[in-house]
Amino acid sequence: MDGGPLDASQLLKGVLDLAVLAVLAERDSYGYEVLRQLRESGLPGVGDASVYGTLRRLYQAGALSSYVVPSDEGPHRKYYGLNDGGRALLARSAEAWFTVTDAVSTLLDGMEARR
Amino acid sequence: MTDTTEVARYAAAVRAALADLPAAERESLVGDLEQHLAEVGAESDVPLDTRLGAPEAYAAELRVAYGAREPGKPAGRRLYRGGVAVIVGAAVVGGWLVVSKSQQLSGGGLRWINILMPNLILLLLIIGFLYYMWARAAGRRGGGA
Repeated sequence: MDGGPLDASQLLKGVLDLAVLAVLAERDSYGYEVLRQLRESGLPGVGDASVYGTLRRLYQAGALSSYVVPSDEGPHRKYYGLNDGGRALLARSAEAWFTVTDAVSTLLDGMEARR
Repeated sequence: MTDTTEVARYAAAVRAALADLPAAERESLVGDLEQHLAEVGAESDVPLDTRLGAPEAYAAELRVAYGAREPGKPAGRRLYRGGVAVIVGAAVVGGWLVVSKSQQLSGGGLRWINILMPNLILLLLIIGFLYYMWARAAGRRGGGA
């Protein structure tokens, strides 16, 4: 830590796995579409390499399944989806996320109220 | 749409920037990079360098996201651990050879070595095992998975 204020990109680094898993829980998706959905959700600072690297790591860790969908017009697309391991990982990670964010929100609310 | 030579050039530059990673790790990280970049390229005519930044920066971001080793950190750390494990193994085998040899030569006459060596070998085995467990745990931490 350099003592500077937390910015969104720093926070995101720790939770990109969770965000990517949440996108894939909606429906199977390919790399660029995951990136677009994250940006549309209000995370414009996410980089393509971060999403691609995260997908590869989650895949290697056995949390995702993958398959290629051929396309006549564009390139073939590699879709990723959650498998049972990925769903379990998402459930556990979401629980941890809510525990932390609830606690921090309570602390911040208390600070606001005392102002 | 970005053409395939542009994709190939960019992907090759990213791979080159990750050249210090072990081949297996690099493949699991960028094994289908061309396919991914083709998907990205299909969305727009803007050059990949403009959309994604320089290949070297892309590679650096990949490293962080994937949890791979940073460049400059000793690539030989895992090798070093493997080397020590080999030395411990060699000491165990060597010790065993010395014992069997000395038993042959002395016909059991060097009793102290017959008592000492099995214990020493056992000790080396335990040290080797503990070291292996530690190296594995440290490797996992270092890998950041």
